Amino acid sequence: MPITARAILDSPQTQTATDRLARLFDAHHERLFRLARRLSSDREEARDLVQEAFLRAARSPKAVPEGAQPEEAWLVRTLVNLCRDRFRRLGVRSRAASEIRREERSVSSHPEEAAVARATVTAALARLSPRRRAVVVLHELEGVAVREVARLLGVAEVTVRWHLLAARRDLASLLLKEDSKS
Amino acid sequence: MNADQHPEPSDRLRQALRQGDPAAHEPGLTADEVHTIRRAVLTAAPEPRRQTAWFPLVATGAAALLALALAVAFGPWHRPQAPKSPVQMAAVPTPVAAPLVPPVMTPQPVKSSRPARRHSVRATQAPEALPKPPNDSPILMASLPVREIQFSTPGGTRVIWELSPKDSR
Repeated sequence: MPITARAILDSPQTQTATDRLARLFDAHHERLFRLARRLSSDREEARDLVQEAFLRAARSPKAVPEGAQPEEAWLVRTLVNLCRDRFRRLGVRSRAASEIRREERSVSSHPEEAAVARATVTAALARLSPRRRAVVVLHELEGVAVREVARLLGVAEVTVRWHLLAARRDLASLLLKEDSKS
Repeated sequence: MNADQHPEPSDRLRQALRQGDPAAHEPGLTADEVHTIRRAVLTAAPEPRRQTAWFPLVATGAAALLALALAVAFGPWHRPQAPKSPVQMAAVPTPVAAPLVPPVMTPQPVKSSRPARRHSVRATQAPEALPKPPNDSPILMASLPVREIQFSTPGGTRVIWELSPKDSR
């Protein structure tokens, strides 16, 4: 039987790779979008981040480790790295102050309390570096234990604790001050 | 005041964060968004396919090269060299030799190649008498053919044997 390109494309190995990618997407896209939404400023950016993370998995499937937990950790790390790349590229840190002002202006036009809180938290999180923001989101918002956060991000537990300490200090100066004002 | 009214700052912070959680009250990805992203991801997968697509080309090229090499090595135009005989011999009759006439030797003074001023030329000695010619008649000897046997060794040495009737006796 002659070897044709069609036969190679339909080979079980290729099918397995595609199937694995589909399973990876189906298993993790919801959780990854939630994390991306908490790490990004809006929904569109979160969707782009999720797509880019899965595209990286598609381009280098051998880089994705086997197993549910390792592949989840790989996707989370990829997402955080994408946030960091975007953070560096767009100079978000320098734009944080203007973003906060913009959020405050938009908040003033939406007097709902929930919207105010959401905008305030989003603006406060935007001031943190991507990795520190990821630590805060995973631990404080998603309730992931410190050890698990360290595993997901591929860092030491002491690093996670150090990021948490610094982030709480920064966020407290923003959020608790807002609380005391309100 | 109890602990419930004045929670720890970390608890208050967590509470403030959760109240303003951006993803708490938002729906996840819609079905259309999921479908779009999924399709984009799965169509980006042919990266490994492209890696394997060159395999038939490489296999065909390798087979062609192998066939060419075999044709060059064992093709019809290939003639194996006949093994060289270790000794090539030839018996060639040589032309009739000229009559052996001994040349008339006149005594010559011995010349020195060294400069004369450094060494004086000594008195020359008379040359020894030439050997007498054999008793056989030279004319008779010349009338008989001389045969040569030539052969060359694989190393290139050429050996020539001259068989003269005089030696055969």
